Amino acid sequence: MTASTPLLSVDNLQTQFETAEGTVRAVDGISFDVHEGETVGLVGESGAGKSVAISSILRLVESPGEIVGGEIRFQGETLLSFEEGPDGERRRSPETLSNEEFRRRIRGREIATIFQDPMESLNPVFTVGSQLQEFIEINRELPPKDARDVAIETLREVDIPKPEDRFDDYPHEFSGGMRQRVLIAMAIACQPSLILADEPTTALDVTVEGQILNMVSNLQDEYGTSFVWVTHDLAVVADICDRVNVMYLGQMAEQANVHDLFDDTKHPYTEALLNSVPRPDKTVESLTPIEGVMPEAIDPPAGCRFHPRCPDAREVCREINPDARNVSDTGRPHNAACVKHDAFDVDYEHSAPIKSEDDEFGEDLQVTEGSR
Amino acid sequence: MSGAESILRVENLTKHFSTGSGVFDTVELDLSGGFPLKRTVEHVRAVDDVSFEIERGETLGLVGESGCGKSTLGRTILRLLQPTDGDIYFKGRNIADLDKGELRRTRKDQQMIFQDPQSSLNPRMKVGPIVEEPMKAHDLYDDDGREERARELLEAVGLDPQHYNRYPHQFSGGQRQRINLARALSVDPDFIVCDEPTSALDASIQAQVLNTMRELQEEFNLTYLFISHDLSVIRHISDRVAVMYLGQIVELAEKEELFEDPKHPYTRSLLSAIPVPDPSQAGSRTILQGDVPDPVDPPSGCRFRTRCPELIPPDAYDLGDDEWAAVREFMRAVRRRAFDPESRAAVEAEFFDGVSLGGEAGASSTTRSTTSPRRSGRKRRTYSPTPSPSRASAHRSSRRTNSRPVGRRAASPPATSTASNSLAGRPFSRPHSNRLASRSSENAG
Repeated sequence: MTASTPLLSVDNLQTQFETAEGTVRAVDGISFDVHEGETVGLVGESGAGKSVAISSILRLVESPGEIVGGEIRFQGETLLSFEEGPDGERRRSPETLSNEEFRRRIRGREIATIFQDPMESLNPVFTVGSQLQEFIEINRELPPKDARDVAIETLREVDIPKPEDRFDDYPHEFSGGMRQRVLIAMAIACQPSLILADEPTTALDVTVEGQILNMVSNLQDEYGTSFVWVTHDLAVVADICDRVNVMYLGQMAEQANVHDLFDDTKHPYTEALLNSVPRPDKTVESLTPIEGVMPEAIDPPAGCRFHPRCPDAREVCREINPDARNVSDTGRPHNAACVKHDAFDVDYEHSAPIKSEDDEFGEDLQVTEGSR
Repeated sequence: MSGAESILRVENLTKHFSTGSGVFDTVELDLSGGFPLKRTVEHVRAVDDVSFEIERGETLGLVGESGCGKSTLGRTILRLLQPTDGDIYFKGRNIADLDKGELRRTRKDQQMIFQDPQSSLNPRMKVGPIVEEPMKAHDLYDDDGREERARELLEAVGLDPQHYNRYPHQFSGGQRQRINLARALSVDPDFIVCDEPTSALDASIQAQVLNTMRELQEEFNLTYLFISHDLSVIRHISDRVAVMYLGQIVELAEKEELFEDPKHPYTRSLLSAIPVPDPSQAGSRTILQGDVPDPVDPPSGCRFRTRCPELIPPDAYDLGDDEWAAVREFMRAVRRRAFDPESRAAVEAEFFDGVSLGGEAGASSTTRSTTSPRRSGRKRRTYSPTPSPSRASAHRSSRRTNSRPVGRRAASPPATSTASNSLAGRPFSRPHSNRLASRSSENAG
């Protein structure tokens, strides 16, 4: 990484959910950095733990979920860290910001968020303007009248036509794209240094998605805000991200600059993901889907978590769960959690390839029992 | 496809929905004289005069933004919705005017797969009976024969025949969509309407299901109408592609031709809007501005003209390409109320950067008035070129001001005034007013 301290640095974050069936390790030791002014992608299939990671950073994880380990630093300040207690148990260290402090100083002011479903994130019984105004009143400590002006100005900033008239409309009177713009307005209203965006354009049409992506990059140029962009859409990642983190089953699979990730893919999962999406710009005769489905996080496979579906899996992959290490041969850091790279030195070359465990039915023998 | 034998021919198909749900919704108070109550029914023109053919064994992709009427078209073709007008010839018979019994019998040859694999399966039924139900409805086979066929089909769609006795909740999303496929195939149909079948699935699972659908098409000689908003998926699965905009098909062509050489400006805009999974092509998008117009009151003439990047300039004005582009963007920005004019210089810098326009002020006697009596969440725009003695008053008639005295609006301070009325109230709009007037020609065209 660069010499400067990152804006946000997440180290070995672990979040788990206690359920009747056992412990679900939704986020199992992920680390990543966000530098000033950059857009960092967090990519993966549903169930990879992307959203839980975002909620953990914002401390929005609710019971039975709990952050059980890791360290989060923001602008040089420790937001969360753990230490060993007298009885060997892990507990939050004294440097950890209290929940109240976090709520008052960080969330909304310094780290804002945009959620996927704009209808669920806006209260249907209050007007759009009043919700935005309230947010600004509280976080910027402005009197109501000034807050209203700021709110209208922010709505104009996100291209809401005639914001002073739309101020008193209810969320249901806005289209999906407009609602998402309101949420973006809410996120930028306090001019935070970092915005965590959780699949903000997934529910939108391509043309509206394009409008929003353009708008976000303009806002980023204007304010220099950093973004963490959670998505499952590799095309969006290619479009807006500077660096990308690929997650699989609660862990990091690959971390690289966006060009390196697409042109010099180092992890078989990323490779497979890229081969399985149809392309708009060229006709692909036959898609190569990834075999099987992602296992449940409650019972992850031993060894490398991707090995049951991995085309390159060898016997050694059953035993070793690799961490994401730098495997780059260029100057730029490029982390991949795959033992086939020399950085791991586990004699992958001489390990016997794993015969595909799937018979002709592929994914479909793994019935997801116990899911509701 | 070879043979050119069409399995489905749709001619001038139209489906309108009336808005308003109660008696009083359709009655309006009219005090202009005569009987004081007036009955008005508005129609959402979901599908408007659509004609196309599907050949046996091919996949026709149907693509468009949400709300363009693609799902309605799919449902109307199967007569799940009663068409307002037009004919649907399926294997030579017009199913638009079949009676219930005959319609039921043609259902054996037409099936549908829905978007949400969760809600389209009965959670209280086991997979086997789910797949057998269509066969029962059409009286095919006996009990044992049905079970045997259900197991065969489960295997054909890539599920384990032993899953016959499981419930839908025990399967993942991709597997549930396979159950839907098996159910649709159980009556051995010729034609399947697939309404966004993979939109709810993850990328890797989507590829699995798409591949299975292709294999099944070859095995069972199926014809698909594949509805999706995802151009990548459409490009992968289709033989020919139809692009829909606001209830009409704007372009229909062979897949390669449509993607490599799109002829319609809308198709071009759509294609350039999609992000490509290749960072070296990042940032090359051109994006359509504004929203899709309200299908209750679509634009006259070409429905795409309000957003079209290739709108033809009116003959009355002699404008170069750059000038016309600047004027067009400015007109549309005004109509969307997309900016708040601070000063003439700011507006010129934003819209007329590097373009100088001559012309005389106020030469036109017609202008457009935008009247939106409703709240603009579901804004309905009516464009009517109204002769008006004063441009300012015409511009002033913006939303919610119809029933109010005009002067009240005019007295509002500039800070909260709308884009259009402050335009009219400020001197800087004068030199452009001539150009602005060309809006009415655009609207008339």
